[in-house]
Amino acid sequence: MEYFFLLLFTGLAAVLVGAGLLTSYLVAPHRPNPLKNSPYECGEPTIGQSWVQFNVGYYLFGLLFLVFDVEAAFLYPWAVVFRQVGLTGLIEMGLFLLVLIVGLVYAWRKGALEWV
Amino acid sequence: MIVQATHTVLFYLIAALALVMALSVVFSRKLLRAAIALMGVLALTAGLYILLGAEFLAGVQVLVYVGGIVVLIVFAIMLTRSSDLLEDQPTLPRALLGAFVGLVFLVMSSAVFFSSPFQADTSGAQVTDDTVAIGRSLLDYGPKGYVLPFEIISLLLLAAAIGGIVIARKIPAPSQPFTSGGDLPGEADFTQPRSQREEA
Repeated sequence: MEYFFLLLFTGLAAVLVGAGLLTSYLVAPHRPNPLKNSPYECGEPTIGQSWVQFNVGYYLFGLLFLVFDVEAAFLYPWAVVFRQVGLTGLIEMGLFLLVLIVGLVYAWRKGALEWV
Repeated sequence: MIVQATHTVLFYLIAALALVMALSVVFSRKLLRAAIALMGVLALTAGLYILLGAEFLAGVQVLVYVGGIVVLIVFAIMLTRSSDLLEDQPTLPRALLGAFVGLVFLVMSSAVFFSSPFQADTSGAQVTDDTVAIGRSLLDYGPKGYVLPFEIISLLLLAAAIGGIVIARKIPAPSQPFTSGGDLPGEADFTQPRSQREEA
């Protein structure tokens, strides 16, 4: 039941968005013309499609983020029991992190952290 | 009793929404919409985990799947050109291959489903403090501990990081900035907007 507020929040968010859309649909006048329907891009006529190719750097950063994201997920159960497991847990987590630091150093040395 | 009923209602609500989202992942013809629907499926699965009392699993689901993997999928979609993906009429070999792969997956997952002895927990025990239990068995080096798989996971993650760098660095970086939208031939060579350019 401690998640009741999460549920309430989700419901409220949905209702707010839905009510806003519904109100503007019911109240706003609807007289479209080609100029109104054209996409607005800072007053400039739009160039090309809206679909653009992302820089590959985003993918590389996303990939590295995911690896260290998973690593961070393992830190939580370790941190919860840290006082019970003590030094052993510290050494075990140290080994885990050491291996991943190798990956970070590799990424650094290969220039994967540089923005191209 | 009310709590129990609320749980049941919530379960069916979340499960139905997740099913709808999953269907729209499969049937949407626009890849980006499919990716957003996938995000919905994964977030709703986290909701199911919370209903089961597995808070840590729900947190990891949101942190890793919703926050990481879907973002990666969106980046991968945005790396490709849209025109390459609009394949309204798949060729016959592709359709056959797709059907074959789908069938194999169906057989595999139903084999797992039917060979698993699902037993209803009639004791009514609530799972509590699961993060503590996970942390203890993760770091336990006794016969019931998982410290070796835990350390091997770090090697797996290292391999994923290095492999990702090796593969992704080979893709030549596009010369245009990602905001330019240079889709016309030669458009990417221009650095000024069209209105400020002297037409050649």
